[in-house]
Amino acid sequence: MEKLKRMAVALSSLLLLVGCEQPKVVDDIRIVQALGYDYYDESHILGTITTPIYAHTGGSGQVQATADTYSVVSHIGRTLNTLLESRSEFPLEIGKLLVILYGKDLAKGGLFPYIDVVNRNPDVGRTISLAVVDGRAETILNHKFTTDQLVSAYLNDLIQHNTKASFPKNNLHEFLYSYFGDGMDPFMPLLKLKQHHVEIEGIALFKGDNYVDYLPFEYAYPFKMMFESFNDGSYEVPINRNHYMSITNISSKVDYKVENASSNRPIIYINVKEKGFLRESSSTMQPKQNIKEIERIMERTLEREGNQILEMLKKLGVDPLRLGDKVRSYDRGWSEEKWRAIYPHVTVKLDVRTTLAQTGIIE
Amino acid sequence: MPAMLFRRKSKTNNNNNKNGHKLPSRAERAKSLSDFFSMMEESKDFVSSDHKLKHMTVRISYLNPMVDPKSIRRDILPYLISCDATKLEDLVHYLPFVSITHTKDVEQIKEKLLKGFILIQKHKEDPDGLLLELTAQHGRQVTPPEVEFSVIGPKTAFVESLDTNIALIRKLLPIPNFKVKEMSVGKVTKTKVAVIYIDGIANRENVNTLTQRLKDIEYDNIIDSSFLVQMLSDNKHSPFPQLVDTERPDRVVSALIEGKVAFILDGSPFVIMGPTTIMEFFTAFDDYALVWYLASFFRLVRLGSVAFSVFATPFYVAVLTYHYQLIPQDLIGTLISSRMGVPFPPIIEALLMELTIEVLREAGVRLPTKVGQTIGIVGGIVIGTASVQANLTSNVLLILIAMAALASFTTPNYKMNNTVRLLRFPFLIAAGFFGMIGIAAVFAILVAHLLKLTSLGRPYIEPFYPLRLSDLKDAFVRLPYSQQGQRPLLQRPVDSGRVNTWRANFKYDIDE
Amino acid sequence: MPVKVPENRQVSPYFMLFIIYGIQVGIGVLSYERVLAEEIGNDGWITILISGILMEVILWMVYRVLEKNGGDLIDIHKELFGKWLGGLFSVIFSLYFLTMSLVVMRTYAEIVQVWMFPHLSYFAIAGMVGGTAYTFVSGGFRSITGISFLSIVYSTPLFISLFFPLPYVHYENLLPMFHHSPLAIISAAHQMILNFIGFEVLFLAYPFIKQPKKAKKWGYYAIYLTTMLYILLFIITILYYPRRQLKGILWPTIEIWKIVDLPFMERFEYIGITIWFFTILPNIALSLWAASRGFKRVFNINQRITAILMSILIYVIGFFLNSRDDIDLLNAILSNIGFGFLCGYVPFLFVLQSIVYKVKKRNGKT
Repeated sequence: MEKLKRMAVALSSLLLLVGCEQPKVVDDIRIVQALGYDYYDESHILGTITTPIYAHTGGSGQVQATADTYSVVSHIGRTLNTLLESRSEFPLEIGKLLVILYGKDLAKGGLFPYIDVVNRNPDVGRTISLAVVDGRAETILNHKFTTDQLVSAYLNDLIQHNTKASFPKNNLHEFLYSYFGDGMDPFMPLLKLKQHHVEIEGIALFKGDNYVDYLPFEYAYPFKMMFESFNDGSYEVPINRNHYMSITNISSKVDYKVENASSNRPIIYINVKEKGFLRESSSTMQPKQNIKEIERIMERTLEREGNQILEMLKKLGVDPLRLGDKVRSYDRGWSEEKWRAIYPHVTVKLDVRTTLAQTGIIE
Repeated sequence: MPAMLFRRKSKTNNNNNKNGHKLPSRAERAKSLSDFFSMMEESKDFVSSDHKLKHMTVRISYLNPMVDPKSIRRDILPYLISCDATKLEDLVHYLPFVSITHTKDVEQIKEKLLKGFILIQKHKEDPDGLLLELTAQHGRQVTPPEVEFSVIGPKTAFVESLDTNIALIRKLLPIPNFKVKEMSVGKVTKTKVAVIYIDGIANRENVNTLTQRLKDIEYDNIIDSSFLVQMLSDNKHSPFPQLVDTERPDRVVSALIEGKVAFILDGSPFVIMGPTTIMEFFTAFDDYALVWYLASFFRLVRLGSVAFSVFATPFYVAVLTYHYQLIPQDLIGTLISSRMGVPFPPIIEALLMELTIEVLREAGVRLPTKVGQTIGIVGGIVIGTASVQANLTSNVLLILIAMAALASFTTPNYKMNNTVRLLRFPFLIAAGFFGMIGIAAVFAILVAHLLKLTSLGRPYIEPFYPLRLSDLKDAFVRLPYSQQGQRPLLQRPVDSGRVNTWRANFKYDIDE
Repeated sequence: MPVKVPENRQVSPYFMLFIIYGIQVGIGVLSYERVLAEEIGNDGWITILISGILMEVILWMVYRVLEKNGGDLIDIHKELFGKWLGGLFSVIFSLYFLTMSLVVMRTYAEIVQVWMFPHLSYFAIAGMVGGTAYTFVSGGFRSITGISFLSIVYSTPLFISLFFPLPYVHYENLLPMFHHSPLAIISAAHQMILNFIGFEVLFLAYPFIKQPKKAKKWGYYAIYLTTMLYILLFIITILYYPRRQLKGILWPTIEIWKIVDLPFMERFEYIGITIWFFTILPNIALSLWAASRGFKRVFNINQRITAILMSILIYVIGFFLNSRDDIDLLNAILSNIGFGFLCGYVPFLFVLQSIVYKVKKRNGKT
């Protein structure tokens, strides 16, 4: 009995002593799902947020959500947070953030301050999607789309679904990895508003945290093929001038080898082994007889497009394929400055081997 | 004299001549007996009358309600009237009773008279008499068990009479090693208690501990075995019962064969067994009646539902109050819109709902059956739906609490059921103040408590700690009978081999 | 004269595994990758391996010293240094463990404050952790072993979090191997000490283990397991993060938990930190127990009272360590003391004891 009394006294005094945590009760907060940054003028930026407003159901079961989007202007270097809070009825919580958009003009000037905000905050996950907008982020976030989802979920799904298909893997973690890593540069999808849909225009290329240029979406597949191994996606192959075939990829594996790593002219070999099957054909050719022929055409097309990409990347001086990192793993004396200097002149040999596995259910 | 009833034990010992003290003289005994009689005669149910026999007179005294009236007319008076006895001792040969006690011990006479024996004296003042046992059987017949019902399996349960209960057990254990030791507890109620065990399997230490503790009990009113459980427990303040109670003879017998010790209280239909572990409270008879993987699955379901019942609501409160980031994207809309407009924070909402369920439960226990159905419908459906629509609570929480309440009933043991009901509240309050860290802290304290708990000196959360892999065969899951060749180590049985598993598992070769 | 512990307070030999593993894996494992990566980069796993081997050697020495004496550290000190000096050394040993529990408690409180509850005061967190630890200490060595065992069981779900970074790993980060000079690799081992200290509690816990000879191999297994865990975690972290980013991440292990994506819950790191509550409980409980037992053995005062006073002491001191730098400093101090104790004092005891015994034997013969 004595022990119980003592424990009770101790526990109750403990409860009185403490400062309790501020509760963030789930219906007393506004959950920010999408964030947008735009260039406003030389010393200001425009920040936009989207939060869902859930309607009261009263037990009927239907969940209705409408999006509430608004923007504020703030000085560069000041956090947008306080200004945004001044317009919100509930505290803003960033824990369920899905997507961040950056206006192209802002991206040209360097994005890192805006990414650091979410990097430091322990509440934010690492799989959120980032994208550059060809235009202004606030336009997209304010737009009413035909889908029944909120714009944040729509954008997130759009990007994530495509990264599983033909677009290279991309989220906050990958961006930070490429940004901090030596011998690599980050990239993001480039979005554009087209009537009532948002389209992925291509891959936005960055040098450090500055936007430089973009690769059109048609080049996304060859880029992804050189960037990582993956199991999905499809691409077109021109058979002759007027006929195209659409091949779906089953498995694509990429392998790198470097020779003369420590010299000024390293040679990088990129070997891609692909397995695909035929999806569509616009001609009435009998594919079965010419499988070998088709495979060769595929290989040549992919190699050509891949080399075009490599040329463009070298000319721009950006390295999203992480070639510098590959060289570093072979060279003990590697350094970032040296890589930047020799990058425009390195030799990259691309070799693609494809196997066509099936041709669908029709001959 | 009231003092007589509350006389201390030591004085009683004196009269029994154990310590070599002087026996009270005849005069003292006669006086004590006549005082006793004058007190008894104040109650209407005490019958005392003289009967004239052939060569002597006797005085027969008894308490009317406790004695079977037919027996007196049939088994005693005819034989007395026709017998040729001249002295009290000779009557023994004439009466058709197997055991008649002839005693000069006044205390014993008083005790047995009060228990329903018949006293035969030569005359009223004589402190020397015969005691015959003729107690009437008041009590119910053997009925199916109420609390530990099993779908398949014997439907016998213990009753309130000690002798009937022992008979039920003896039927299943026809061996000479089955020992029954009797003693009495309770100063006023003087209830009979029988300690039973199988000699040669049960560890002597367990038996001695139990017997010693029973002897040390200081209390006046022992009516039910649950009182005894609290007094015999290692830790009297723990919410966890340390001795398991059961109303099924088959369960007692299985326990005894494993090496447990049990005791039966006269007047209580629950037999108490020990030492025990926490897993025993979650096993039901049906576990042993089904195939082992089915039984294991259901046992796991049971354990899972108990865990769910304790943790579901606290997690809801913690996540909704502090950790909204944990909620998956698709679920967050449902949760928010269900909580929209509810005026209370989640912790208050949860506490209110839990208390409502407890009120419903308590009311349901005491309602007469005719009204029970209506209240069930009113309480469950109408109140629930109405409070959601009036926006006093959220429907997600209502589902959780209702399911948690339902899940807690899967515990086969009533005492553990209550413990589980109670356990939810500290977690709930901790979750409301400190979120998930609070839940973790309360859980750690719970584990600390369980680690220190012992049952008759044996660790309570065996086989988890100390880890006894061989005992795990019947804890979470139940392995087939062919695997259970040893008795559980918990009881430290003297003889731990159970069956010859090699013989049991022997298989002929293919086509042999 | 060596102390004897009644049998019903002892534990079976295989619990040595859980005791040592439990006290070693504490808060160091949440942030060690960063320190190691900063110092030595991708060859850090070799450092961990070397540290592990070193620890096994030290453990061997500890066993030898204890076996020859037959009792616990207090007895050893008394034997080698006499009553007064030996007592002083034992007191220092107890204070060392007290510091250990303070460090663990404060660091964990900081993690909870940064990641989960920014407004929660240190008092609340420390109160919960300290109070819970005390209930185990008051249950005796057996109940502390119980919680060591159980918390290892509870923390096994955390291992699934090692699978989720796998889609994102870049194997090139491990290359080129042996990039650094052997001297650098070995000297980086002193960064790992904080993750291995704790098994000196054996100096006080040895009499509590049944059949000590059988228990020895479990001790070696424990250090082996700890080393493997650290290596595995380190390699995955290196593969997952580029080096420059890793230098900026304060708690890489917790960051990795961010990737875990379960269908019914996101943000696994909150669950991870909650489960971590159980992982540090054995650390604090064992340290508190060791500290109060040391005092009891030297001064013969009631261990319960000492334990309560010590808990309150670290509760209060922790409050005054407010900033990140203070906590880092505290960790560094503990690391240095631990290094001195393990790699300096233990071998010293070993050598001294064998000399003293040899001398005694010779004197006894003549």
